[in-house]
Amino acid sequence: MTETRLDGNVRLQEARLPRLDWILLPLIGIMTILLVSAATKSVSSHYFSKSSNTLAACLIQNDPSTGVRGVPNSECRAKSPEFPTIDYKFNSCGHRAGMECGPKPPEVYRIVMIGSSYPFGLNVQREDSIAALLPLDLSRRTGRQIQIYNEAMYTGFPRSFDLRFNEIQAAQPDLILWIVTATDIKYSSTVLLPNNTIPQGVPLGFVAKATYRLRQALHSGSVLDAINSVENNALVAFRDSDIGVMLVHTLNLSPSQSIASYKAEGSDSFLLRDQLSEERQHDLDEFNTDAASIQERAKSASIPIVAVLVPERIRATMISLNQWPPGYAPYKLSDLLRSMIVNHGGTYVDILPGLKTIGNIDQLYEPVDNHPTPKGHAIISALIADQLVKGAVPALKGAHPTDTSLAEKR
Amino acid sequence: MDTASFQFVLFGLLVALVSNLSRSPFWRSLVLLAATLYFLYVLAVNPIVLLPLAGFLALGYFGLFLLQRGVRKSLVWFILVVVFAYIWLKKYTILPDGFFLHTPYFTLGLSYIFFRVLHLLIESGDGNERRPIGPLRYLLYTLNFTTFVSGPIQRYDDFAADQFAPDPPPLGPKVVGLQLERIVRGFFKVNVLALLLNAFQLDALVQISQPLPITFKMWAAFRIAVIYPFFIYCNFSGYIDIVIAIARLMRLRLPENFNRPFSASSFLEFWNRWHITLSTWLKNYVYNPLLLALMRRITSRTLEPFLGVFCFFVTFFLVGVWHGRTSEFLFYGVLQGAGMAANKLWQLALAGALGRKPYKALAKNPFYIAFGRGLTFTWFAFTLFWFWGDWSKINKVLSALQIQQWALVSLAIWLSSTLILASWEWLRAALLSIRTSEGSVLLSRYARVAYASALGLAAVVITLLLNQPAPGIVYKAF
Repeated sequence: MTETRLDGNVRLQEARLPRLDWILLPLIGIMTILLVSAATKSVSSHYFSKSSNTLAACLIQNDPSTGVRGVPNSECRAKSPEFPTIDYKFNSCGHRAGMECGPKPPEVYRIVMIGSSYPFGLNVQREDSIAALLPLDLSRRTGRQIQIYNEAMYTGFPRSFDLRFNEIQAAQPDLILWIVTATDIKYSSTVLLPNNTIPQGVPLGFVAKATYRLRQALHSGSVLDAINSVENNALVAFRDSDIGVMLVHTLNLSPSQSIASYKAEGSDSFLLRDQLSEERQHDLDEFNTDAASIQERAKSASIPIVAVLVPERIRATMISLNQWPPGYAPYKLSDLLRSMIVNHGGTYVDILPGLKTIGNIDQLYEPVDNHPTPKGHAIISALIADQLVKGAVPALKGAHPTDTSLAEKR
Repeated sequence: MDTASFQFVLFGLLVALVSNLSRSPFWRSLVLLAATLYFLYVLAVNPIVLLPLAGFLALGYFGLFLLQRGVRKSLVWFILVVVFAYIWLKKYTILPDGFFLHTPYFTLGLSYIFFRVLHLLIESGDGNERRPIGPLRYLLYTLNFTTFVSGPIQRYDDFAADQFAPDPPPLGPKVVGLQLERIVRGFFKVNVLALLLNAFQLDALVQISQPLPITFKMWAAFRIAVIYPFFIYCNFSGYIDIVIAIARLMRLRLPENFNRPFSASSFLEFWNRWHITLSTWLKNYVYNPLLLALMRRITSRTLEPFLGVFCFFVTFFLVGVWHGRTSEFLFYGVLQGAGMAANKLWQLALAGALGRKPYKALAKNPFYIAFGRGLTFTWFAFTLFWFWGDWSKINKVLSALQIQQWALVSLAIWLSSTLILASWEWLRAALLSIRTSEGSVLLSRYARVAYASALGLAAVVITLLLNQPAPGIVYKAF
């Protein structure tokens, strides 16, 4: 690499590139890029593919009077990029409950669990989900026969449970267990997620999709906005592709990298900042309204309600590492939630401190999808059980909780 | 702009393009000056904060001006004043706190300017006839934006030979291609490898304090020690790759700062391969004069070899001290100096015990080299604890394991680095041995285009996906 002083002839030689190289070198560059892309695509398709069947086939997603609900007696198989293929089976009431709906059997203490995708058990088999693990744990610890009837629903945000409260009541619960996530707060008042899909009739090729998006963007803004929008859409599309998921998954396996990545994102979609933005504060206010309404109805029906914030990956990581960037406060949302729930007459249990003892947090969630793995469900279930038997619910007060159950599951 | 960002690379390439509009030294100097001033303006934002730095430069130039006019007797005083001004501006804790300026000011690049200024003063004061250095040349040399943030530390004569030459170094397509490949490589090192290695080390740092089984903790300790040398290498050498390439595109050849440091088979060799311009500077201006001075005073033949040991200790102790004003860096310096001195003593002892010829034969033995390489890496990795950590952090990490567990971790690092680095050397040699009449296939422009394309694609995709800044260039803080 070291250059020596060169005389004229050598300099001329140094300056020249064989004519063929002017074609060959760019060609090698392009071929390398194509080859690397193809190899990456092949690996990502193998390990991070998603099925063409989706859970959507088992869901009714266009009824604003109820929000998203399951198609009664339906069965679906779906695979998300980071998870194996999962079976979803809905009973005659459209719930992924693992049992038929109807009146509770005698001698059984029934808990109706509500919430969105975490308690629904998205991307895990039912037997690995909180809904299946928690009653086993509670029954073992309390000596009572405890059943969980799972009415949680994928994208079932709080307002939709307000709309479907009669369904909850029909299950004759002794207790409502409300699993809250930051996403539930962000979308609290959303009954149906806006449909951002491309309408039927538009060809599905990349160029056709891009042209459609460009036209849409041009319709609503300037050329620059349109270009910006297409650029953002392209990046989002790339992130959602097999390759994008594989790369982000691999890069974000490191907990510290995940935190740095979330920080760089800047949007605070999980309400982790110590000072919430106006938008996030508004989300929280909306959630408070919905929580008040749900709790009011539970009180009228004399059903006790217990709420718990289940952390998403970033919050769990920050707590487990006991490290977060300045300006972030991973426990704050739990405190806010507690005051809301308690103000409306409910009970709140806090499982976040329990995460401090978890050493392998990176194995509990998938980094891109953000949903808990079977191991994550087991830990969350154990942490909730710990809190419930501690005395938060007198009927469930059982043997003094120990860490052994948690350790067994790790 | 003070890191290996897209913006910095684009800025550098633009400056190189404009600089090549004419080969005249005047034009090229004008472009370099304008680019450097703009670079400083972007970094400082408020020009007022540059005043102390400007004062330091003025002080250096005043000394240089007097020395060039024959006031050579005052050389030592000039040097002392410049050293004192540097210590004062860098707020070394050896001075009382009340003595420092308490308004915020700009110190980025000061360490490297300090070396350049001292170099000019020492060379001007040596009595040899030289062409006087005017203020513009002085500013271009000391502030050159390509070497401003973290070097490399270039000698003035080399700088002037390229920058002010009417016939500057040639810039054909081959050279341009090589530099572009180097920029891609540097960008990948800083923005992808260093970023990920930094995250992995942070994970390990957290894990060592978590309630985990002891084997997990030992694995975390292993990673804490092993990852950081690679991180700092990617972070620093990646940035240096970029600035050397940008400068070369401006027809200015900067000295190399790294030469595959982890292939060094001894600590003495390591410092010939790591931060080369710093260690060379210190060898030229500390080691050599100190050794000469001691040899003049101590004439004992028995003691003579040990003078080198002492001089190595002092020189590399200063390497550590230069890095920072805290006691951690002082200790880091002691460890560097101790490593160098112990290595020299080992060589002397072994040569004494075995005889010169058998010692030389042993030093060429592949197993001796491989284990030496592993030991060098292990020692350097552990000394870096005092480079990245403060006492409380180091204490937290060290107290997470018992002493015998740390001994096991060290042994594991030594053995695994011996094995892995030896395998890497073997693989590299095997790949380089695939040759055509034009040389090694791996170093051909075709292979370079192929891997630069792959690295470039990976760097762009990962940078876009992560959309987060890479850790800053560590050496800009010094």
